[in-house]
Amino acid sequence: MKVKTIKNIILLSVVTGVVFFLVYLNTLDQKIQRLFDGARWEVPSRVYARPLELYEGKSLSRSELLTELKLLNYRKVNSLNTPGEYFIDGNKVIIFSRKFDYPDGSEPQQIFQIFFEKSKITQILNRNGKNFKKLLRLEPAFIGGIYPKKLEDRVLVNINKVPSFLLETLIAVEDRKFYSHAGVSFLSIIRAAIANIKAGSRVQGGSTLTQQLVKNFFLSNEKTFMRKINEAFMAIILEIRYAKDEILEAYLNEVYLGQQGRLAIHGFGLASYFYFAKPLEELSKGEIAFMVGLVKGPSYYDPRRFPDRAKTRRNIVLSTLVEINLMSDEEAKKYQIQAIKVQSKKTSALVLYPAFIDLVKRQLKSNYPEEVLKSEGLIIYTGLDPILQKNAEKTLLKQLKHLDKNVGSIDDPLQAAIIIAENGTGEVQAIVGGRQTKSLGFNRALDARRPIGSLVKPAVYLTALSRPEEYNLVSLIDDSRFIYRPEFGDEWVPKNYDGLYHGEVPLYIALASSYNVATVRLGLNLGLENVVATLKKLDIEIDSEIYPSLLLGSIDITPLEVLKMYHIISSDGFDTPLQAIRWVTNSDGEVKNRYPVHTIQKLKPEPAYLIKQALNQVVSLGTARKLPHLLKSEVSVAGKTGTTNDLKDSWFAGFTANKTAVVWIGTDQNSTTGLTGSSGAMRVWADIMNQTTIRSIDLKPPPGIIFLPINIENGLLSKKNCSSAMIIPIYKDYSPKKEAKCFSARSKKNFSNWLNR
Amino acid sequence: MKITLTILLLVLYSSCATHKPQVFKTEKTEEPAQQISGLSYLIDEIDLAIQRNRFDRAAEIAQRGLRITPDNAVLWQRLALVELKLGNYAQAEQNALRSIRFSSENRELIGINNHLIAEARALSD
Repeated sequence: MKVKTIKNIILLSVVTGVVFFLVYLNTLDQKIQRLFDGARWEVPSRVYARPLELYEGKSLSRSELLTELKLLNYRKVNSLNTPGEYFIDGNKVIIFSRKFDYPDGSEPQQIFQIFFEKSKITQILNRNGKNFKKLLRLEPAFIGGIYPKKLEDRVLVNINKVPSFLLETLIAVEDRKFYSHAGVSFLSIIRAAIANIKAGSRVQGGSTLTQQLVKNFFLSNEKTFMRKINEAFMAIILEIRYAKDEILEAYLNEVYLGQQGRLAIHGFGLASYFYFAKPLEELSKGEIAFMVGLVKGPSYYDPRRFPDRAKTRRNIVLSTLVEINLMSDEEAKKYQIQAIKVQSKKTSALVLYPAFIDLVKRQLKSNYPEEVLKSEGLIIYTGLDPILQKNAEKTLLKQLKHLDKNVGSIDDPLQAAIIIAENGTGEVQAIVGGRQTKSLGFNRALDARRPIGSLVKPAVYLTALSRPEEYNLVSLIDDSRFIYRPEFGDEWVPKNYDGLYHGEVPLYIALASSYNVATVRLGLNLGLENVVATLKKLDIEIDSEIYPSLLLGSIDITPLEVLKMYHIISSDGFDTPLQAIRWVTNSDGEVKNRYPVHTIQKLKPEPAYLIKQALNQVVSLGTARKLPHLLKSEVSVAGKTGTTNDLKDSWFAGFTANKTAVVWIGTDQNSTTGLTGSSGAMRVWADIMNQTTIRSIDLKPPPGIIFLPINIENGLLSKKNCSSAMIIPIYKDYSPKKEAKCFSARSKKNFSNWLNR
Repeated sequence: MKITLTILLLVLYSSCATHKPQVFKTEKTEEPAQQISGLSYLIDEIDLAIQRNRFDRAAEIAQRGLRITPDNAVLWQRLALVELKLGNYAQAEQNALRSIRFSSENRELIGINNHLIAEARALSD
């Protein structure tokens, strides 16, 4: 009885133990499946700039190309051997480009020679000296990530695309029996134990790659017996559930290989860029040996802090490869004498252009929640032009430093914002959100709502020019003293910047000279609601109650909104929504979202053309007349200066044939800057445009516009030779039919007076 | 002597009288946009994609071209055609209007665009 009871107890215990063991295994299995079958990692989204297109005739200086190559981590060499290299031969740059896949097509790796003259590409030849039929381009530069809270970064690699030498080296060094064991190698454990006992400390590990993966992926770093047991069983389950290559691929992507500030570098894919600034397939065998050696202790063997330790470790790995005949002794020696040339310490900024990435995130918001952006490894292709962006940042800082000397106060320093778009496609190519270009604080380009002053005036004149039966470019507008008497409230007497009144002035002069009184009178005649309707066509929504002061720009809008407005004007009245993004793909390159060019005509061609002409006059003879002298090239541009009360805001919005750009300078606490639109923002605008390719605006009239000599005094048709006549663009269907007399001393006098005011 | 003086004065007067200040310009002051090597290859690629009914592909290539040369009337016309084929009639019309704006004196291209606009309007009814 007693024996039977004991037997029963033992049996019960065994059964209970087995049940618990099975439950335990099942729990581990569930955990493995849950984590391993789902999204294994929070992979940050990666954001890329535009690829640099290269073609003969392109305006691109040699130094700009070298800037781009530096950003792409191309190596300057004396002879080309592998992709990602270039060498300079006088005015010629020879490039061994990298192969890359882009959503609209792939580019092969190839060697080409680019010839420069002044700041232009004059010729592109292949290695045999022949011309290319196709357009060439370089891969887009990485400009930042959208990171998860747990600051980890990785570039996922597919095992089939990983160099076989890396796989062989990793297995040789970390787990030679990887393809034959079942997750745990008891022989390895015993061998490691003996080695450790002999050495008196831990010199060898017995963990398989599978165990290491389990430890990193599922378990904590605590050194307990239970953790070891869990690790062993989970490794076995993992081996039963998944193929060897799947486990190895997960290991390649999971392994911790370094630290960039607060950001942990995981996986060989990212580590390759982190240490050598190139993709895995471009690594030499010596570099691969170093990276495999790093697995043992990324901090201890950090090549930047401890180059000797890193070199010793790499050489041990190379010797191991010789031992197992993976490398000849001679080849190993060749690598062993080489230094480990890691790229210099990467910038601590995780995002190169935070103000731009900010816009990217906002534009993605409707399609992708923040959590998805931080975890699903999306690839976001944008239109950012890094050369233009760098120039804009550099220029702004330089100009602000200069302006600080005259006007800046330490308590409320000058701030600024710049935003630039390509005409036609509406791609945003550069954004500067303030003085701190490398950290995202307040993004003034997108969020600073400020009064825009005279930047609003084109909307008033556009409203007038949309009424050809009443107005043309030389219609006389009254700029004499004017008192606005509202039904309720105080009177308002608008004043001009120069404090003077100018009598009757032609419409284009009133805009070019930015006369406030003439503008208010014109705007009120047109009707405030009609001006607001025009602003709506220009993408500016006014939600608040409207007052006549709106006509002088007392509306608070952001530089981005100003850009939208002027981009429509620069695009002949076509609205092409401003976009930062071209495509979003998943990590396999499959396109998830396209952001194609959409255009819609918001303004009729005729008024769109006339306002462009008038804005060209602002630059020729108006408030921006100094601009042509600031520009290095003789290009015809158009734009408008804006200055607000007490010189608190300095604005310039301008465009060329290919670019529209807005610059704002002010302070965060709304202090006086002492700057007008032309003495502050316009200078920055000119300086940026001097560093990029700009082309003259297209002033060819649309079919509804003709050029006719008009008597500027009375608006009648005039003989071409009359001194009172001016040849102006005018609606064909509304041109005056009656001809005026030729001579008029008054008009001649007036004309020269208007120009000299 | 008198005759010479009269002629000189006449020449001077006529030159003064005809030399008007040309305030409003009509054309670009610089040389016309340069030919872009490789652009014709790109347009051939678009046409080939259209022939093969690969309209999404054709649109991608056209947009690549427009990023390089945003005021190219031919590229806007091809994009209009692609949108028409994809059934995006309103966008086809807008792209064709844009192409017309850049077409300058190219009567043939303007004619093609006008025809395309008429077709887009008819199809959208």
